[in-house]
Amino acid sequence: MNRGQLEKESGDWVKDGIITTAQRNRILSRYEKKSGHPVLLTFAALFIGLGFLTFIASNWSALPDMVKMSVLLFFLVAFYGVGAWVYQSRSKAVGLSLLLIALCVFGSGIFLTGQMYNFTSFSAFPFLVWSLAAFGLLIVFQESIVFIAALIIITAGQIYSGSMYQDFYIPLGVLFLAGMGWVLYRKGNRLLTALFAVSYAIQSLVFIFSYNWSYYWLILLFLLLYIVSHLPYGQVHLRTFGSIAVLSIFTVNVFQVFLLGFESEDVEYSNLFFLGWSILFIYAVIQSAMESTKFNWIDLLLFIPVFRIGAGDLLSLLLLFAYSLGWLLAGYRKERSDWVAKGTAALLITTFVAYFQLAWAFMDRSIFFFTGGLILFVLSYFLERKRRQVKGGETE
Amino acid sequence: MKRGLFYLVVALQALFLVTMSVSYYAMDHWGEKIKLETEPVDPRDPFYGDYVTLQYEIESFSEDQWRAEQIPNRGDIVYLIVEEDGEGTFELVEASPHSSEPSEGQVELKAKYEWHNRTEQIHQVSIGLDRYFIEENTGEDFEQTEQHVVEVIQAPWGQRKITSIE
Repeated sequence: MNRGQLEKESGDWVKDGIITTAQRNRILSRYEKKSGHPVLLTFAALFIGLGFLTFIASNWSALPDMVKMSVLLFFLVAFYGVGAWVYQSRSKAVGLSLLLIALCVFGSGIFLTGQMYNFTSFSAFPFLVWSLAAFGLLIVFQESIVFIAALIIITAGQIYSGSMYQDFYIPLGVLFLAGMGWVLYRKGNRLLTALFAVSYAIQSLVFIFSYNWSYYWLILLFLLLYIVSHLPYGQVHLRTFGSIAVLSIFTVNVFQVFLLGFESEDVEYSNLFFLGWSILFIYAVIQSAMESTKFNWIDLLLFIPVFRIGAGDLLSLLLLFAYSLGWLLAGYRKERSDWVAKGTAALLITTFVAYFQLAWAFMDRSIFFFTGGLILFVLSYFLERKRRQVKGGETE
Repeated sequence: MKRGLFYLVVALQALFLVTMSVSYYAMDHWGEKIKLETEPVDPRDPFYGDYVTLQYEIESFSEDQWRAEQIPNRGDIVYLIVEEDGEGTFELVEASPHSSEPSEGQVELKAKYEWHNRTEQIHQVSIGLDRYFIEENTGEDFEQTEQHVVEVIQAPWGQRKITSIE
């Protein structure tokens, strides 16, 4: 918050009797007026730096290799040095952006050097080095934006590894789980947790497909994520894992509705999967039974593997409906509007999926969309009315 | 901010880039030179332009040169033993899933397994040196649909580079 905003806001606070004038002055004194020069100067430096950078980029191929190396090293050290100095003594935001530019210089340095010297790699090793640099910065500065940068580099590296080498690069995975996971556990917040979980889901996909495992192993990986989010001794912010895990497994179930069910596509299953799944699932059930909220078992419905039995499409659909209705009913009973909202969204999507699956084949297209729209409209009307009742009940 | 750690992190990054550069020049001194023949390549690469795509003759070999029962999975590491033929280029002797000490006059190359062609009974691997970057406006002009002889240096620490293409 800047001083101008604070002056305006705090005037109202004094008026409303939240704080006294003396307190207001003390708060304001913490936000000393800063002169605009450092920021302007930093931007001037930034522009000159960028000017150099573009000039060199456009003449890159004409430079001898040694000059290229020196230029890279110079910019690397210069951006890190200036970034750290600005971060400490001027502005954290500008300093961080300079540090991130330095990190990008290092990343492009790896690839440019590789290209310059015809390096060949058999794996996503360059990305590992780059993410280690990002991780080092994260340890030094402990800022969210650096965490996000490291997360992006790791995820991109894993996708690169999967698409270029059909391989899940284990060192990157270890850095992700052990390194980033540890930082997240100690210092994370909800946003970082959500992003971490999204990266986990993406990497799970790379993992499964690069080892040619069947998609159903995803159920196990997502279940694991879900269990971690509900560990009784976990940090509160890790709860966000659960939402992403449920979202992911929900998507898997939607896919199952469309892809399973034909006799020719009966999925071969592995006993190892069922062993692992049984252990995790039983643990998850016990865990949810011991929680103070008695309704978390509804989430677990989605993790039931239905591909083994015939008619997997229908059963997946049933799971989706059971999940949606479960949260709706729980929400009405406990008068929790967030649960109702969750159930409503899930029910609308499920209805749409079911409708698409059942009616697409034998209905005229325009009638299909008209009726579909109508059903959703009626459904959302009733759900919204009910939701308002619950919400109304809450505020009274 | 931990100042010492910060210096370390920055120094390691600079060191990494410098090592990449130095090891490249060090290869000339310690590396082993081998010449490999390429096969013509169908230019279908979307980035075709600033580099040539190379495919080497030793990268595809018949089933009887494979020294194991099982067919490896895509992406598995395989080791190629090459030996100089009479005309100065190197040819494949055998390929195996395990590394072994090459005998006199032979060189071992690490490669990644790609696929097995059942009908032609051929294994396809990649030694990774499939791109050679050409700087623009240097007068170097390569037609990747023709056969070339590529000189490669392999360092004792496994690094490889292309030194020239004829």
